[in-house]
Amino acid sequence: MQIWFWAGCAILIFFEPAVADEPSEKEPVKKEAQAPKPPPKPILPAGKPGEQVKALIKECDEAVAAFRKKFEAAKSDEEQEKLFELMPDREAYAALIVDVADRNPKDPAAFDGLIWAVRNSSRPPKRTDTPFARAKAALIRDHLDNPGIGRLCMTLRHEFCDPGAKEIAEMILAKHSDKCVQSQASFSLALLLHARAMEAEYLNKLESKQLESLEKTYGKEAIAGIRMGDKAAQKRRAEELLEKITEDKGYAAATVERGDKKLTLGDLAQRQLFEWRELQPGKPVPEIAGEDIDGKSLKLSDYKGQVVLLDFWGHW
Amino acid sequence: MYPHERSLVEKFHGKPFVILGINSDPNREIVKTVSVKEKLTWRSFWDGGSTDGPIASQWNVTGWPTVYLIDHKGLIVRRIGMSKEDDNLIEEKVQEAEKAGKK
Repeated sequence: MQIWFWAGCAILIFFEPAVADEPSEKEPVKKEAQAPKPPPKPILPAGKPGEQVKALIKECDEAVAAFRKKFEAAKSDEEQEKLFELMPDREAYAALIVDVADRNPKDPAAFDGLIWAVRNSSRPPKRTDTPFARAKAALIRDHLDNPGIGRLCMTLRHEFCDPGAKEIAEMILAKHSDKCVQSQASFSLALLLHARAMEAEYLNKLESKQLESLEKTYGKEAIAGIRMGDKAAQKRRAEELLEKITEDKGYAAATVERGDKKLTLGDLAQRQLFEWRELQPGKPVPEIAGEDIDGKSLKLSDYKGQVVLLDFWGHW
Repeated sequence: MYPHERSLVEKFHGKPFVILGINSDPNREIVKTVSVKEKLTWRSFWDGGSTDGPIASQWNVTGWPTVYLIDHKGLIVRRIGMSKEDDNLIEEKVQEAEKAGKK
């Protein structure tokens, strides 16, 4: 479903930046039967910085929504594949927005634009010239005091191979006293620390050839940083950070958007702790009792004595 | 995914092995249609018609498919995928279950 849709887009953006094309806004609309043409490259609109940022975000979001609608309506995989050529070039929009923000660091609209850019552009490792890396750097340089900066942490919470992600979370945690920002930075830092500890275990089992290949992708220092981390201490701190979120009402009430829903960090922290503590190798499996697709009752414990492959699935 | 699961069901036919789904589709009709079309013979929990269902939420599942292997004693072995190594692990656990069953 949407998760795979976005993953697909991210991969495509990464490997195949949309081809530059002549802007052709006034061209008459052609019949659908003709070969699909990639959307025109975005152009910086006239206006004040805030208006420029808003217009670019609106244009791109609308184009993506329209593309998504078509994509979901496509009847076959082949049809979907063909549609990828029509995907709006979010990288190009993000680059324009970062340009505006760089020129106008004091403008509050720059902050919203930069957050949009880090959330909507691809994240190739090690690069410093991508819209993502530039937006991240600008947020830290010009907007660290912004009360919305916790959103940057949330965006980076799975980037455990990026040493900057952890540092940013630490920095924001130390600088802001607002509970919502504290909660967002804590949540992100917890996930990053835990993932780094798990990754260290994995990396230390690899043969040198596999390790070299990862060093090439992510950078020697980034990999060394993960391998040298104190695994037990990182896991312990990760749990403590999440515990605080579940215990403090102000922290727990902070929200995060997932698709079109809003979830509280209190709930998310609790689920994450449950996974870390209970869903681990050697732990007794928690009972699942409910009903099957036909409405008949079904219990996991009915299958004790058998090996069970517990498969969370959906047809998408 | 479906062909791999079907092959496991076939491979361990008559042995102490079962697939149990936890389904997050938006409606039951989709599941019924797919199950017939793809010959999915195993049962699935109905998780309320969304990816935010109670079971997936409790288990902190945010990516699909997510698959856990549970042994005959009801202990979590680990999360698995579809690699050869994972298939071998399933086989190993089924053999353990068979041995335990014969005692």
